[in-house]
Amino acid sequence: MFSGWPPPILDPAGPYASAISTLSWILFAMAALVLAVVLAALYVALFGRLELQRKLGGKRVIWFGGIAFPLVVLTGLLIYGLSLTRHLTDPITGDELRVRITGEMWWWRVAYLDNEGREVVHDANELHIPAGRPIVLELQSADVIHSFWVPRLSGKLDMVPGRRNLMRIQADRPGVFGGQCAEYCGGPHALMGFTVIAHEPGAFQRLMQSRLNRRRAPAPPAAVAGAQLFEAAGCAACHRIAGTRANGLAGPDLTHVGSRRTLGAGILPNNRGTMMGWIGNSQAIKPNNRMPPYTLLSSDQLTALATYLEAQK
Amino acid sequence: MTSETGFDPRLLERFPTAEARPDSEVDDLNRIWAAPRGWRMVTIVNNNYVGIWYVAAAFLFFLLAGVLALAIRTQLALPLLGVLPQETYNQFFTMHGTLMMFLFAVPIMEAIGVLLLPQMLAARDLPFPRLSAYAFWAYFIGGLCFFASIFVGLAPNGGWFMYPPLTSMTYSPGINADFWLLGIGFIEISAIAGAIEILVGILKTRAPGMTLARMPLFAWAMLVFAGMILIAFPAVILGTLLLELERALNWPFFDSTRGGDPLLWQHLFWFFGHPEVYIIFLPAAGLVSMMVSSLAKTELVGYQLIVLAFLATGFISFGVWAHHMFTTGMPMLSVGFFSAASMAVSIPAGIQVFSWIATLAIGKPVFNTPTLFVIGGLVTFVIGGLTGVMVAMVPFDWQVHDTHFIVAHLHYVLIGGAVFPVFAAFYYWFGMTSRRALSERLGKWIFWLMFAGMHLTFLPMHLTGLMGMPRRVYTYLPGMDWEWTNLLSTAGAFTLAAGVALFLFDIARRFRFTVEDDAGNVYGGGTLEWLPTGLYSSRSIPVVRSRSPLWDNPALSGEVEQGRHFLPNSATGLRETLITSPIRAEPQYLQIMMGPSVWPLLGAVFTAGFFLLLTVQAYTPAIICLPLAILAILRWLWDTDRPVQQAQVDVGAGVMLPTYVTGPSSHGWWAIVCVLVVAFMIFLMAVFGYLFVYGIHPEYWVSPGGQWWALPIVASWAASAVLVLYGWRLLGRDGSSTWSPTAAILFACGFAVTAIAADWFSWRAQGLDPELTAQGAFSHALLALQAQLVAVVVLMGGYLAARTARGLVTRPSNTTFDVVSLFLLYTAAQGSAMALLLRFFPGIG
Amino acid sequence: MLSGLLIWAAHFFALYMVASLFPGAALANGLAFAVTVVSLAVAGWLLWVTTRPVEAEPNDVLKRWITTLAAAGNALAFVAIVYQTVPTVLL
Repeated sequence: MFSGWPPPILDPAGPYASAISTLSWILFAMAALVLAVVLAALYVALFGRLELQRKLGGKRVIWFGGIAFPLVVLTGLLIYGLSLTRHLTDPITGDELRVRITGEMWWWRVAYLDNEGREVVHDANELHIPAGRPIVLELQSADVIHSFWVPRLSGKLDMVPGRRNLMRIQADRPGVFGGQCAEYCGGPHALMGFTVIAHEPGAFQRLMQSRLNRRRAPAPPAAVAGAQLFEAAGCAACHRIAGTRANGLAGPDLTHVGSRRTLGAGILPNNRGTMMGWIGNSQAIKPNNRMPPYTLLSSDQLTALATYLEAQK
Repeated sequence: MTSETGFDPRLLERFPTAEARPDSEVDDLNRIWAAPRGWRMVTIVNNNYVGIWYVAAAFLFFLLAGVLALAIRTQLALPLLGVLPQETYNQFFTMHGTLMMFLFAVPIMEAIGVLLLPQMLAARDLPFPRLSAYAFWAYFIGGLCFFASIFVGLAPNGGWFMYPPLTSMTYSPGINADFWLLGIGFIEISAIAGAIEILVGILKTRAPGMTLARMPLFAWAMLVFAGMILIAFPAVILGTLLLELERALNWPFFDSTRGGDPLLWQHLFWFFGHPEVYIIFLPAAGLVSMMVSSLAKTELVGYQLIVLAFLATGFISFGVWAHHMFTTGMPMLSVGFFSAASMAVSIPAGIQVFSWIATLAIGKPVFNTPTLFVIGGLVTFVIGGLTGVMVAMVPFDWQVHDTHFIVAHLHYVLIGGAVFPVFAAFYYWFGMTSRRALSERLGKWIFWLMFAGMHLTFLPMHLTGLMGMPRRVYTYLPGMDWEWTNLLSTAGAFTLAAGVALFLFDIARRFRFTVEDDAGNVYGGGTLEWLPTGLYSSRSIPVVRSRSPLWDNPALSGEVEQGRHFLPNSATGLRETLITSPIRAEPQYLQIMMGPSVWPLLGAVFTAGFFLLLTVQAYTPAIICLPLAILAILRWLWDTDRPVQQAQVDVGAGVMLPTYVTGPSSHGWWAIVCVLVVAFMIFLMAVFGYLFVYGIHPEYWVSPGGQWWALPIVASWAASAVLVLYGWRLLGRDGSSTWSPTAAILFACGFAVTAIAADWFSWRAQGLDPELTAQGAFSHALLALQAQLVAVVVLMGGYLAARTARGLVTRPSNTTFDVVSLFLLYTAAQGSAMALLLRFFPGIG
Repeated sequence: MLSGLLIWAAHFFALYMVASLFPGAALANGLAFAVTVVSLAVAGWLLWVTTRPVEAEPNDVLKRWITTLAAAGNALAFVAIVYQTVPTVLL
């Protein structure tokens, strides 16, 4: 139809979003109907024939148009809306795949949980899920209030300090779905994106297995310099790469950074050039984010770091 | 015939009197009500002047906030623009929302109320002219200083809703947030002052015979408006107080790591914030109801239903606050209640819309500028209302909450529901205060520019939201398909601005302030504000026999001008107005009113100084300002409550009324009751907060111990209350000496101080630390609230003593004495309730 | 005059308290339902009182006006209370 159509909210990719999409269309129809009635009445009131105007000009119109008519429409909507709310918040059974997502100023910490609720795989700003089954997200915050929202998969839910909110998402088919923080969280709130990648169940199993059983192979020759620099330049103070001495927890986990689609929480495509740019001066790209600029690093050093990080799949 | 007060309704039949009154009485009125000139104009308290200043100031803030909006729209026109840097943008959008809501929308309604209500009700002025002046100056000075923070980059940047923990010391260490908390907290106080003024004005100063069923609908709307302010604003005052305490003293009300809860702020904020929308909408609906009837040249259809709609809106709007919190993970059942109430509140809106349409249908509307604005506003508001019903549906809200869909929705509601009606009102009532009316030809241009601009800005914005663009983002990435709708919105914003600019141009050209030889009733309204007026309003106060007296009795203007109705002169030679009963508007007494004074202005300057200096952490000057502000306010009060020589005067046609009345029918009594309602709401909200955080994090709570302390504390409060009652009796008893009633009050003050001191000491003894847990913080906050009341009580005691010394306390009853006594009784009640709550909840251990 | 709306308010805040005190419990729904029955009974009784023809003061226009207003308020409150209860049945 035009660029941007259908908008994500009306282009659902899973059962939770599609129920809301249906509701949206019903609401649009309701609004169009009521607006048409009001405009027609207004037209008659201003330009209509005299006898029509007489009919419109009494208290009865208020009782019908202003009370009875909205009452019927609203009652229907209320019952439908609440039933849908109930349906969408059916109790969580407990055997769903669980992922803990923590909102941080201005990125997302992701931890996949095992059946006992232990964090087994760490990642950031990106969530891999199997298509065709519901996933439960444990939403929490490390600092201020954020809101988790991937419109094609579900409505949004806030991440409130001191609370843990549970949310379900589901994608029917494999695909990539964008999302963004929806609660103003200061500074670069505008640049706090998120990506959900739905896989065929088999592919998802393989991905998780490979991450669970990840054995650190010796760094390829091209990446050795980068590996040393990663510790020397101080990256390791804030970032963790599993299996190495880098164990910082302040910033995003970089164990799988090489396989991520985006950098800087959903704002840049991930390639060597953008990685170098981000490390060199992320402040120019995402002002006021928590990572200091490393303008003292030479371009050779940046290349080495980027090469090393690229290899972290 | 029934009477409310014992006043014989047949006395009203004497009016209009047969004889015209001498013109010399008009000269007297002119002399008595004359406004100071030159630099002394700042001492004016008359509503004609204060009202127009107030409107102008509110409009100024509308323009300033509008300029910020243009900057915001420019920045968002295309992805990744650098017009406004991130931090500047965050300050701009915070200020845009804050200015529009706190410094434009509510004040403009109060301003229009101050300007129009006395004339509409045919009162000489509002009952507390100096309070209006104080409210205006406090708002104007405070607002300007608050706005100035943007020039030095210190403007608040946490959003107009200021959610902690983003606004806590940890994440907002600068003083930006303090500007919001102290600046807005202070402006709220001014809004409450205005609301008390308006509430008492509407209930007590209507023209005789103007029963509740004959009141102009704007007055009905303002009555509900003022009542809602008294209930809703305390929530945000308490919220700002707690957040400021958390920031300044590290008391963890909202900090979840110490047992507080960030959602408490959201509850407090929206308990104010959603009624706020209706607080803005109701006066506008009142204006529209009156204009629709005049413009269609017929009585409004369904007057009574509209009154019902106003009242119902006032009530139900207090049950919808949490629909701003559907995505916070509240219990589903509560979510359902708020969803249901949010839908129910649209029924009163439906009543209003169809009543206006019905009136337009039987009338003969002419398409002049106010009509266009009224109809444009109606259409826009209906669309906003419909998207409002959509977002009341919980699952739909989960999707669109905090997106540009909401931005579009709220602008439809507020522009359609308030801005367009206010512009219609500007046109409609312009002739009351200006020598020349506004241009109709330009007016149509202005309307169409604004109307087209508004829809061009906000209609595509719904789609922007559905496409997934969140609110409050300083930029967005290319490739999201958000470019073209954003570009349209920006173009629309500038079109809207062009309309407003044209309006400014026309105002500059045509506006010439006047009270007497104004352009007059251009649109043919039938209510009392279109009587011929001077600074004293109408020459005599007409007996009202219908809803549109000027239509039903074309001779009324002449009768009023000849002085053939109530109070054709100044009966006492002072400024005065007729006080009538709240339901049937039966004359009760003649109120002596205050004239020009510099003290309200000085009071406002020092109050503003206190709050603003506190914000910039200039503690010494701030501490100096506080007593100065109190002195200025006491000085202005010193002139009040002075009975005159004549105990009874003839207010026309031989009707005799007293000039001094105390007790529940006096305007002073009503005002202090309003103040106590505010105090009680603040206390109630604090108790709610106390219980709320306990409910969320009971694991942080301990039984405070030392329950026996409650005994001496409550006993002290009881002693204080008993002494007050005894003092009241002494005042009425002839035999007692001059000082004995006041002495009883002073002893009561002493017991109040004892009680609060004991309470404070007991907490120190228990060692409950305010910085450690939310329980400690809340206990201390409640204590601090109570200590504030006690401080006021002590001041009042001193003031009463001073008045006693000067022989100003009348026997057998006295308004100042009543006010102090009522305040003391309330303080004692609240103090006892608090002492018991803190010690026996959450349990004895 | 405000009776109906006051009952609505009392009912609303009672429901809110019930829902907050017993989150997620079936008890909450039951209690809420009980509160509703009581509120509806009171609102209905008031509606009946306010719609009864006024005999004492047939000429008192204002009193009649206020009574009709109260009756309409009660009717509206009745509907709003029913609305308010729908969630207890559906959620």
